[in-house]
Amino acid sequence: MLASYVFYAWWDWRFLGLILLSTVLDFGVGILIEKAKNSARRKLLLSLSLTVNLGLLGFLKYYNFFIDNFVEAFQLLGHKMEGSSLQVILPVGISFYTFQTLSYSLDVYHRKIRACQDFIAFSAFVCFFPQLVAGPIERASHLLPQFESKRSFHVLEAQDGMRQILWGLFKKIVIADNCAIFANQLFNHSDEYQGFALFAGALFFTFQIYGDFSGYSDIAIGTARLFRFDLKQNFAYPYFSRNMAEFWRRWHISLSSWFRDYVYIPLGGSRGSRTIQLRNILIIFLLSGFWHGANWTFIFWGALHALFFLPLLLLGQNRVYLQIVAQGKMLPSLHELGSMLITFLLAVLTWIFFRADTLVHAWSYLTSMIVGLAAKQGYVQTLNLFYWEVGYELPLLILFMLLLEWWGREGMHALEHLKSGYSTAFRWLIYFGIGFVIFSNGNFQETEFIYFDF
Amino acid sequence: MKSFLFKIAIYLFGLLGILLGIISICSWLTDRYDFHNVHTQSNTLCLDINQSYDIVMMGISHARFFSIHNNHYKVEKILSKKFINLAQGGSKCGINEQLYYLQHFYRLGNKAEKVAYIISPHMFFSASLSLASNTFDYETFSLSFLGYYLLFPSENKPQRILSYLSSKLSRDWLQYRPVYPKDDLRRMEKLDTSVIKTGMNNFYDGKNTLDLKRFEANSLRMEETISFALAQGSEVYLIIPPALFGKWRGHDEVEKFALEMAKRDSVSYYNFSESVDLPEFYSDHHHLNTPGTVYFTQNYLLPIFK
Repeated sequence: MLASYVFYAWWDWRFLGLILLSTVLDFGVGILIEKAKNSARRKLLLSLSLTVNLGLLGFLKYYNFFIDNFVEAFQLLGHKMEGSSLQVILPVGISFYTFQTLSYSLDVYHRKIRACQDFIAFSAFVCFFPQLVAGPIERASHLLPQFESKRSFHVLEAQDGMRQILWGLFKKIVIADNCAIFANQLFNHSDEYQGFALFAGALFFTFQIYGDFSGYSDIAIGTARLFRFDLKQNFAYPYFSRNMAEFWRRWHISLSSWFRDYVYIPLGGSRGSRTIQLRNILIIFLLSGFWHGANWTFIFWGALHALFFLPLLLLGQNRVYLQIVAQGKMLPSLHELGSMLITFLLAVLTWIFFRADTLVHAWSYLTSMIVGLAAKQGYVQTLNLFYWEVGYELPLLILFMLLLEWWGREGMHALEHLKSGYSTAFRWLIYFGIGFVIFSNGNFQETEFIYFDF
Repeated sequence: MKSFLFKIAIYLFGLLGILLGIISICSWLTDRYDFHNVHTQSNTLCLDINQSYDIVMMGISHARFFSIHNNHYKVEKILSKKFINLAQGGSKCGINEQLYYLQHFYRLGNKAEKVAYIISPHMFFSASLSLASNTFDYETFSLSFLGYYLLFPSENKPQRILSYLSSKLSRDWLQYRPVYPKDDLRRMEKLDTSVIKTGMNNFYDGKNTLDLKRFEANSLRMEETISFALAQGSEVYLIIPPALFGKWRGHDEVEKFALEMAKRDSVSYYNFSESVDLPEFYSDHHHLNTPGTVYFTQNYLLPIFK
């Protein structure tokens, strides 16, 4: 617990108070809910937890968004109005630990778990350093008992943790941070490019965000495993998904399952009329978008995903792909390959809205990209970009990442299957090879993890 | 636990060994070519051991210009002196790392009668020069260069070392060859105040104020450099270079510091900021072209280095 607090304070000690407030509140609320005799009191206590946690999150993350939009809306209606935006610093990881503590209060309220009586264990659960700032968002039922029980060092767990950390570092330092250079260049100067060059920019961001976020998750999960903590898998090879429903079962799993369990199912889930189902899907996708940040671009990103998901729901295709593609086989079928490609391209399209500064920027990016596909200039720009700036190393490294992930797609992480079935020499060759590539091709300039901002 | 830690240690040391081995090979692949000050801004590619020089030149681009564009031989001829240039252009080396280069120079058993430090005023105030991570990207890899640098106090050291090591594996390094340049005959037509107005802030980290805290820190490092050079038996010359616009922002602070330093034995200070005011002697507002370098050397450096 102390190590976690020191870790967090390293960024800004002043915000430790916020975590402590959430911790003390939810610890107390949990015990009081369990002791409460009547349901009205239980509800009141839960409301207190929800109000304070969501209130803090809402104020720190969304205050300016709402003020600015109210002012704009009133001005559009012809009323003169002035709102005062605040220079609010968003505490790193607030969206993650708030959702984690909320899940605890909700689970105690729904009697899914017993209230924790050990304050130190509970504090450690809220602020556990590997996943504190960018997830995975853990559930109390899964992580809390691990703090309450005695653990001992387990060499195989630790070894696999190190493999996962190595792979996470590769994805973050080599893939994400190098892709970021070109994604930033193309998105920040999108008016100077067109056609395929902008498509390349969207592709770079697609791999940047995957490498960044799944890389962080791998490092977090691997680090936790060194201490013999088991954290949930957060990414399960989402770019090998065959439709958008599968994509959402594989992308940021801890968040999507949170929304499923605490919003979608309480709203009625897939029960009830089609209208109710559609409404519920739309709500969780919009909320998911809004969770990422106070900007219409994120909301539109969520809406776009809902748009791609809803036809699958209506056609009853949303649960057809529950297993990883081409399980037990070396290669996918042509049909699977086509489905993966289409899903990937849809994901690329949505990332444009996620990355753009505003909806107008996203729209102009998209139109220049599509319209420019017919123009020669875009191809010339792309050739110049790759010949003079990108080079061949980064595309090859992305390909290497995809191949290794394909090879290890049935495991919890890409290198998991190396723990058995291969000679020591081969395994060490892979470890040294990845270590060498991290060093030789890594971008070691200070670049924050994208999801620290959420 | 023990076997796990042992394996981790094996991995880390093994990886380090492999990396250093490959880096050494890559470093040698370029180092085997015969580089001279006139071909490259790299210092380690040119530096030899146990050499005696009349002058060591230090500073940033305004000092490096005495060597590049074929100027080195011309300057040596005019001064009738053998000189070596340790200065670094390209906004990648500040006062602190210049001191490290000088230490490295003497550590190799080299000697110099005079140290000519071209003190461009903005180098005292610029954070980007002090923090640049690509300072050693074109230096050869050697364990002693790295080892001593590990002990050398510096800002942004980890990034700089990472960049130094990983740059040896880059295409840029492996394809790096001696370049035989031509005279720099670009010339300015006239002084353009609007360019100076917009461009000046770039040299001061985008600010239109002076970073006095950094000035103080850099002054201390400069003082250390002077003391170090004096301790090696060299005379020190602090020279403010010419600029078409005359004085740089922060000139007065730097001059005050230099005058203070010049009170010490074997330290001299010269202010040539307004010495060359003809646009045709400049390739831009503050860099002399080849005719300008020749003119300046003949008329201003020769009298003091006679």
